[in-house]
Amino acid sequence: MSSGTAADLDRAPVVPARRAAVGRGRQLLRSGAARWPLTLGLVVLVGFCLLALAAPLIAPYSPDAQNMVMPLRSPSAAHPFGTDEFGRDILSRILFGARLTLLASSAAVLLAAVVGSTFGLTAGYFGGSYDAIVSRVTDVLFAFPVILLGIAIVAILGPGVPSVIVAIALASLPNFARVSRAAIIPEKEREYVVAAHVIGATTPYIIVRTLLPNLIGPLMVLVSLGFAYAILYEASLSFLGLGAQPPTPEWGVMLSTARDFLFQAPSYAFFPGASIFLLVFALNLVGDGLRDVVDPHRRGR
Amino acid sequence: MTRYLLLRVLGVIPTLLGITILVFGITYLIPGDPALIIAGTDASPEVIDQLRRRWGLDQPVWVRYGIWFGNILQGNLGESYFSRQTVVQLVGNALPVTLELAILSLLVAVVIAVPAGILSAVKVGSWFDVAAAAVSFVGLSIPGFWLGIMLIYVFGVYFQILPAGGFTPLERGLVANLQSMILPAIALGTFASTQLMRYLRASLLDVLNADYIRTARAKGVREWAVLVRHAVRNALIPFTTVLGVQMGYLLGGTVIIESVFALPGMGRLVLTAILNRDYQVATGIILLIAAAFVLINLVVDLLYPVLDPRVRLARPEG
Repeated sequence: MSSGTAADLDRAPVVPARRAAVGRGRQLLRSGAARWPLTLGLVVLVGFCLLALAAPLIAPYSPDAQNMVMPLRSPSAAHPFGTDEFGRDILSRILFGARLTLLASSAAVLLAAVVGSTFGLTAGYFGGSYDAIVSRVTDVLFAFPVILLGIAIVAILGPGVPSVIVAIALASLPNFARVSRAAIIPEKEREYVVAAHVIGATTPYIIVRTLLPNLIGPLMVLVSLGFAYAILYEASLSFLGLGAQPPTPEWGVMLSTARDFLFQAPSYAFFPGASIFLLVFALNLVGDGLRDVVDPHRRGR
Repeated sequence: MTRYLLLRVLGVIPTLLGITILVFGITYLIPGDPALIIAGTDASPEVIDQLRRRWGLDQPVWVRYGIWFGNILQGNLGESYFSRQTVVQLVGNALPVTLELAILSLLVAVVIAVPAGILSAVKVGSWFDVAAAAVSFVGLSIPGFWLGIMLIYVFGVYFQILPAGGFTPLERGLVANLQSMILPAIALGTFASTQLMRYLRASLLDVLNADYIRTARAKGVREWAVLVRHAVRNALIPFTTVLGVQMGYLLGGTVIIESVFALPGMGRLVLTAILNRDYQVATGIILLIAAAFVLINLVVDLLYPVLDPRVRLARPEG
């Protein structure tokens, strides 16, 4: 740590003032240019949230309204995304499906973030045998692919959205524990933390009020990337029949049915998957953009 | 060095033990009496009691864990409640399919990632670099099972040049076998290829800034030789580690891709087992895949010093 400070001091006077100014201007320009993916990602994400919220108002049909006279139609003016095997409007079902996907995935990620970083932060802060146990449990959880954890949880709780949430939370938890642990270890030695100790702050106060605000950056990056994975896994587990069950409008369930009608209605399989892709893409853009903001050294890598 | 290897090998043991405890915990937490599931709800109490004793279900938890763990050490992972086949037999039939899928997917990923990663790093900032980054970002966000379905539509339904699903074993010819595996391998390997490409590009960029590259250029080594002999060789060392990690993820990903393409592998086996409440099969396979993940990572770690003499010769602390 002390060597880092010394290197900084060494480096500082080498850069002439004028070059530093030019560099800063170029850097500003570059950061403005580099931030458009983040903006795009946020716009798409917020768009999806608004569409999900407004689903009952903007959906052209009820998601469950059957129309047996026109099953498996291609996109048309009346049904922009076509109809499914019961003549239900696919666009309406996708809009309502967005609600379930967004709710379930965000619940899973928040659960993982709160529990995982609580364990990670305390393990990194206190160290010792507690840290060893937490790290070991993290290693064990890491060894289970998400889908298999999902299958195991479904065996215990039965298929359904709650099982999927628990499975994704359990699978994402080790990431939060590892990253927050790795982040707090160098940070707890810093002077402002020592200062907080000196003025008599309690340990919970130091962890939550002093250290956590300085670790929020990397955790935010992890939340947005974890959110992207959660959406992928939520859809995957539902696709396998482990999550939401038909006739619930859910993207993974829709894809699983659509696979059987590829010959008659390829658009049926296209739109739910494209929705998953767009949402995951947006969240990856947000995560990547946030990482560049949090850690400017990484930019362009 | 031997000490490092020994510590690394021994360090795996607690993780593997933890995996067995977790998997046993799952079998223990699964609701419903297995004896009732096997015998059916209308079986007589005597039959059920007999079954309980036969499967050791009347013992306390730790005894059951002991019995279960002892069986695993002897290579007995349990048997199907229904078909009476042992898990080892079932896995023996399914494993080759899953392994072929995972290896072909890794191959697809490497074939895409290595040239793209090298070219991106060498021509950093060029149109190719930008385009490759964009394409990899798209690939990273595509759900593998959707990609699989779309591939089935394009090649299996629309052009009808590849089978739309199902598995052709190797005995019926290599070409037919590969035809049934190529779409699943692409669907599964795409995600891994984006990860590998980004990683290779980053590590190659690090290497290209190293002093010994400047030295090589300064003494007049030709640019392609600098790249091939000095830079790429060094960048590939950390790359192998990532390759191992990706192999582990691919094993997990086979579950869903096998379901999309109706391939009779481990993933399909575990999925049908769980839907039929055939829990010994399900937990046996979950245990095997988790253990395989840990062991693959171990092998990669052990390979590291073989690939990198600097690690081999250095004296690691601790």
